[in-house]
Amino acid sequence: MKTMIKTISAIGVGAMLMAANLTYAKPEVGQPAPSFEMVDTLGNVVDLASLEGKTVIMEWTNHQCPFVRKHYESGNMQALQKESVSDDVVWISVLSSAPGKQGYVEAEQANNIIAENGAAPTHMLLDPSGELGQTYGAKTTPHMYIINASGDLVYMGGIDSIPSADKADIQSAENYVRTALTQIKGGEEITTPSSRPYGCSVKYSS
Amino acid sequence: MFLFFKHTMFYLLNKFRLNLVTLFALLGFMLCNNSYAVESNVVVTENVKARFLSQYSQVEAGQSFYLLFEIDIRDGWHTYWLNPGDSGQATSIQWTLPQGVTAEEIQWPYPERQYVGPVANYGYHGVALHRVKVSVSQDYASDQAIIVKANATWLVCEEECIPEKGQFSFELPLADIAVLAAENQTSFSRFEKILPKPLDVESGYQYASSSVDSEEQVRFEFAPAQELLSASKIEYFPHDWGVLQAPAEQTVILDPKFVSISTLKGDLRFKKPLKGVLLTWDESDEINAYQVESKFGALNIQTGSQQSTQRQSSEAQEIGLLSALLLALIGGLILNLMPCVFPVLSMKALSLVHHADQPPAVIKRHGVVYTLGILISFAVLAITLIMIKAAGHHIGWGFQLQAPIFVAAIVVVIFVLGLSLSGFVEIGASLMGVGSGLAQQQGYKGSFFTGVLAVIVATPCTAPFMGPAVGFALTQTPVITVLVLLALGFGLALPYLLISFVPVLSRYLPKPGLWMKKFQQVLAFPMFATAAWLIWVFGLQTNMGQVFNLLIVCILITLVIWLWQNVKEEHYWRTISRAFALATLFVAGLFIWKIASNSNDTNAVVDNARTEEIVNYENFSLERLQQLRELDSPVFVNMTAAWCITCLANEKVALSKAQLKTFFTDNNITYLKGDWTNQDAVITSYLESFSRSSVPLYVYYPKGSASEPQVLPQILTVAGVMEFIKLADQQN
Repeated sequence: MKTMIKTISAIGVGAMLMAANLTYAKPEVGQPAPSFEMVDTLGNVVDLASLEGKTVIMEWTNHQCPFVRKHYESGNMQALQKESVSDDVVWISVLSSAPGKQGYVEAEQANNIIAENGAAPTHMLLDPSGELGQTYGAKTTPHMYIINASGDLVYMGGIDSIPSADKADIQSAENYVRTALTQIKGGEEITTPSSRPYGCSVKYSS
Repeated sequence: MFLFFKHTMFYLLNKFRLNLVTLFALLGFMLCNNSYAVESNVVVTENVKARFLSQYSQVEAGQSFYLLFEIDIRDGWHTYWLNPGDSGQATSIQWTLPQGVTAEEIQWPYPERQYVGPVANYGYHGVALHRVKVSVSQDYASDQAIIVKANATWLVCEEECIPEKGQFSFELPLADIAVLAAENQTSFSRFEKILPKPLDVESGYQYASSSVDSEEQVRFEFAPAQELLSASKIEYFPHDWGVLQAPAEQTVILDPKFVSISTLKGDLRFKKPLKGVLLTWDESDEINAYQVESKFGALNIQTGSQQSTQRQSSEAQEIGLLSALLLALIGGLILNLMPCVFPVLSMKALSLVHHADQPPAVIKRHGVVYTLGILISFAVLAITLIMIKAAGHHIGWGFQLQAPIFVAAIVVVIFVLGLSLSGFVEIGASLMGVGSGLAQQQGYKGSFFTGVLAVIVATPCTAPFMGPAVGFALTQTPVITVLVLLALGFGLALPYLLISFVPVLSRYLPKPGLWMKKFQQVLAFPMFATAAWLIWVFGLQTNMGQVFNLLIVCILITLVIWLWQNVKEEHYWRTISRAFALATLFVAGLFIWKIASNSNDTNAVVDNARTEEIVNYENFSLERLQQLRELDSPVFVNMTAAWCITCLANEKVALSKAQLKTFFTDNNITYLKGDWTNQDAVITSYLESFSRSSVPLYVYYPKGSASEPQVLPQILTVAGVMEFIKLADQQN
């Protein structure tokens, strides 16, 4: 008797994924960061290629997400932004919420929120189609990426080590972004190049 | 409520004349039971109702028991598992417990995969249960009830997420004997059903290092376990973040020898043993959850168990031979009772014994010579069969029991024997005449030929046992064939041998009589049953049309026999019936030819199917490798072993796929496969030359005797192999 062989295909991701065209090659730490060229909320063109020579931080945000609010209401994110910008780092906040989803805003309101929060990003990019977010594989808000001066991705993941929505945890957590920036400045190797990003899911369309 | 108590009090006082103290004790007891002993306060938020349940309403010192944290979630919302997936946050509990009381980590029920656009989470909807084991130390010395305080936080999301928390507390009184909280038992037994059960199965995981284009995969392999093989769907949930991509499809392969699950690798690369949950669905969509642990690296089944199965199979072979010999012996004994054998031998044996003038030693010698006669005859029979078999092989027949035409021939033979036993036809009667003349001779020669006669006469009258034994013997080696037939002969000779040594036994010899005829007729039925079984086998090998042909042949042969037996009638009828018999024989021959030609087709189909299975590889040898390289032929080497699950998985997933086979043929790549199941020394040194100590090992030699061999990754995919080979050829 021939041996019975059962081959099974398990759960497919579904039409949603197909529609969203989610076959991006994932960005990898140590590899060149995916390039992009977009217009920010102030009308300026932001082209990653032209930012070569500078360290770039990408921060996926959603002002209504409790985890983002944890870092903004405590002033943590703003402080980190100001520190970085003063070190000649380019800080890019990205909003990938689709129209109708939590956090979606238009340019004018986005700028108002930045002003209200006292935030200090160099640029704010609106990505309602989710294309930039999916190119970078952004899954949560906040989700942080650091690109070095040569254009390589050197960090991606969570902002710090305690994945909670509690402001009280900020003090005791290790801020991976701050640590990485210090290490880049000192020319050292980054000890934690990847960590688990935590937060709300990015509100992509579908 | 108070009125109720008042009335109860008076009722009790009157009815049972209890005194007041006892009454207050009773009251206190009732009140205590109604208080927070078995469940905590309930925290209600906009999205959930959360509370703690206790397994016991009273606990003893030194006891361990369970608490259940229950979150009743609003419709459409969900909370998260230990590994929440791409986003979200797992429920967590922080305890404030008195000294001597400890709580362990949360035990989680199996999760479900929840998609939020392109992102996936692992969590729960409806009622989420979390069980915690609490232990009270033996020397917990306090009359006070245990006050349990817990701060729980959880994230509850629909699309938006709300982090929530609650403060819970309850008291657990101590007692000499623990008391179960009856009303909570359904919740606890429900948890038992949704808690993943530990599955003790060997498991490994590996990464498929990618070429630049394809996404990197992680593959989990499991030794075959019944719980997994009987599933119609399986899903793997890792405990750790970063192991795999949560929304990605999982490709499951279920094979009798292994189970593998492949999916896209997550953000991290691990080396430590990974814990995870396997969810299985059966045909009726019933879910079972198992807790598994996978070690990093290729999966090999423990050689210990492999060796024991090898030992068992060789033992089985030995037992097979022994039982065959035993059966043959018994068959030989039974042959003695056959009517065609019995009268002759009985008379001869009795005459042997009743020769009063013969000294015992001579009688014994007669017995031995008689036995020799039988044994030598059977040996001749065995040798003849072996020669026929060998000749058949040479001609191309092959005594394959798989060949339908062979089965058909046996059916006819057994059917005719059955007819013979039933008395429809007498076969062997003439042989008896010839033989008895020789046997009449006196002296040792007479005894010898009596033995030979017994064999000749016994052969047509085959007892039901002889057929299988001979059939079995024919399929085995010549040595075994001879042994089995000798055992048969010995069984046949045994009774008379015994009698010649112990003449007294002759008294127990049954006398010939009508019973022999009946016994012979009865034996016809097992014969027909055997024929029926073989027709069924024939039907499986061919089809109903062929079965019909075979049955017609049997009927026609019966007709021929009947017609031939009418030869004894008048001359007129004799000619007609003979002619008719010959005609019938001719028709029967046509049907036989029909079966033969059609079954050849069947054979052809079977052979084609078998060639499909035959893989396009050659057995590995260093000489062949060298030869191929000198011939400028590219070579693909696969070192595998039967106990190496990773090897089997790779063969299933990649190496046996038609696409890859065509690729090999198109590019003139010779595929050499080395079997290291028994740790062949040549292969061991080959492995060592690549600094490997185990299988699998895949090596590609681009064409040219000076080409640099390239080692492929441990996990193969069709695309991966083709890309690798193309790249290697380019670099060559």
